[in-house]
Amino acid sequence: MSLSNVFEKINQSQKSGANLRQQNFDFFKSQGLPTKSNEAWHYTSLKHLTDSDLEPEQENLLSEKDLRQRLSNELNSDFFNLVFVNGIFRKEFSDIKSLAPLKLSFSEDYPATATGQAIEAAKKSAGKIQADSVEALRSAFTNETLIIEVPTDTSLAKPLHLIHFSSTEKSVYSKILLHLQSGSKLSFIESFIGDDKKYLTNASCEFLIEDSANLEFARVQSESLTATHLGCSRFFLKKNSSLETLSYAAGGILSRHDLEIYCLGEQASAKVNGLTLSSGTQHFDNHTLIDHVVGACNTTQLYKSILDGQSRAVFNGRVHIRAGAQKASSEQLNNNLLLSSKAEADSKPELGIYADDVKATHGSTVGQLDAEEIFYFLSRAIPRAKAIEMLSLGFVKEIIDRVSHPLIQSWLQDRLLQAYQKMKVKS
Amino acid sequence: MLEIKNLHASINEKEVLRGINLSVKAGEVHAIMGPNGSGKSTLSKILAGHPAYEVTGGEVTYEVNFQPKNLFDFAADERAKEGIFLAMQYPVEVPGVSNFNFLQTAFNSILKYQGSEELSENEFKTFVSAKMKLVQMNESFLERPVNVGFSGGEKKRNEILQMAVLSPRLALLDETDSGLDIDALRIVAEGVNKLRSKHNAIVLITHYQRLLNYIKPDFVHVLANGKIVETGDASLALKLEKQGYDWLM
Repeated sequence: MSLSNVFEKINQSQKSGANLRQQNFDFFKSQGLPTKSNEAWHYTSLKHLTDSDLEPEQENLLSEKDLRQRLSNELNSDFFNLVFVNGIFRKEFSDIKSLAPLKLSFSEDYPATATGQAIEAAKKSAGKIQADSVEALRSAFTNETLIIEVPTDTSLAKPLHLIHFSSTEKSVYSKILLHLQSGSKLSFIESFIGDDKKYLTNASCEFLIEDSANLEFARVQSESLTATHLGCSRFFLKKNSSLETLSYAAGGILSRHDLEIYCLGEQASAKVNGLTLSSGTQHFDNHTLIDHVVGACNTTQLYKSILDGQSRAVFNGRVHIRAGAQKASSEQLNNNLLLSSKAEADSKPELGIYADDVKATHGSTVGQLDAEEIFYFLSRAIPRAKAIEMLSLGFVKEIIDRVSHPLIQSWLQDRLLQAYQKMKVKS
Repeated sequence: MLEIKNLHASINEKEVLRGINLSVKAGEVHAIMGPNGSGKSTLSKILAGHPAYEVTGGEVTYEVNFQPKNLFDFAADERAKEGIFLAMQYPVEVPGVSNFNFLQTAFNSILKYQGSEELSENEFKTFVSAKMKLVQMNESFLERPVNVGFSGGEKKRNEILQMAVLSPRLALLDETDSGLDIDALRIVAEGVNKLRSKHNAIVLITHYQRLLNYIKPDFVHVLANGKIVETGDASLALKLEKQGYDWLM
């Protein structure tokens, strides 16, 4: 069956939203997946994906018992968990009752919902945000969008941990809208894990953060090492709101994450951090866009990568300070540590500054471990491999330290150590 | 425990050691003095296994389990596990690694090598606290990244703390006195003296006689132009202080 036929069949089975899905699918068909001739995809090729790879998985292929076993290490009682398996919500693994202060719903036709409309309005005030074909494909194949509302002045007792678990040879599509009402606060982890199969994840989360609301977000990409991951996180920041975000990525054979922040209200602040651990023939592409639509907002970016093997990590960071966005402050820094002479880091800052009374800095480095540092460790009886581990993890410690929530911080620390050790076993 | 015979070494094809002979026994303290560029630091780095130097001739044996072994058969970390310690002239700053983690990992690496049980965080904390008193270091230094933002004197004290924790058989102190004011010098020297025993040996590399007022050497050697040109007792250092090195060149 062709991808078009698969789409027709699924679209007809849905109760609503058929037109929107059709428009998105048509757009995707007209464009195809992005190629290297597209400037935003200059470093990253999706040529390995065939039409059948793009077919959405509609089944849970695992038995209840296998699934329970597989998830047992992931369901951490420090967090309230929400579990999706192959894109399908699994109530039995989720702490639904504890999440009562939030309003959770699913929609086949999200633009018709109040949250969808609020996010559409934010997009309008940010100017034209053009979906690319990856996003169109996601919109075409996502059956139900998850909508999370955090009511005014509300917070949760524990961080929310949304787990995407995949076990398929096809694609898993996911769309989430998260609306933090004014004065609310949320600590949120979105993690991606999967079985050792060749699947594609295409997932987005859009956040509308209202006046004086506060979001701490950690996006943890720990997919199977054979998976392809395409993700997007998009944030709209209103007046006095604050955002702290970490994009952690260690999984997948190819991984692309687009992060977009639109500062729509004055005094909004965003601390944007990234940590990539790459080895073997892995390829990571982090694209960021920080758009100071209005003035007097403060944004910082720090992305660090550790690269081993023949892997490659791309950081493309765009900062846009619009005309009239006076008193904007923006920092951007990208540091890369190469553990192998065959690894490659590409760092590309793009600054578009159209206001004169602003502060904007950027910088990037690519380096190796210092021989004197390694000798210092050796001379203290620490074996070379352990010295490299301590120095590499020391290099990214700053990123972990920037995670404010102590439980999320220690959870990430463990995950990072595991990923590092796994990476070293592999190489 | 250490026998150096006719040692030649070079860096970037430039010869820096031109036939060193030195014998160090347990319980002894040797001071190596000499003008700038004479090869003093090079000698200590070669003994510790620094990768930048190439040994071009001669031999060095070091006693392991009461047997003389070729030192160059041991990698740098193995030498440290066998009790060789180099206090660096310029201790390296290591952002992102806490002093505590560094010390505990070093100590446990040695325990593991010896087949002993490693110390837990709490056990090591108790152990290291006692050692910190020896060099009068505040415990707040444990949580700070290794040497980052430390003053010159604090870095040197941190080296002696590491020495106290690792309790080496052969300690090579490379200009541990440089950059220290008189109080810091006294604290560092007292720390070293407390670590002296009949089982271990200390080699002090220094420009100045003043350190030797605090740590009394059994032998003083003058290294010039890659060779030991004079050996004597502690009085040699006093003579050098008065007359300089010219009379030996």
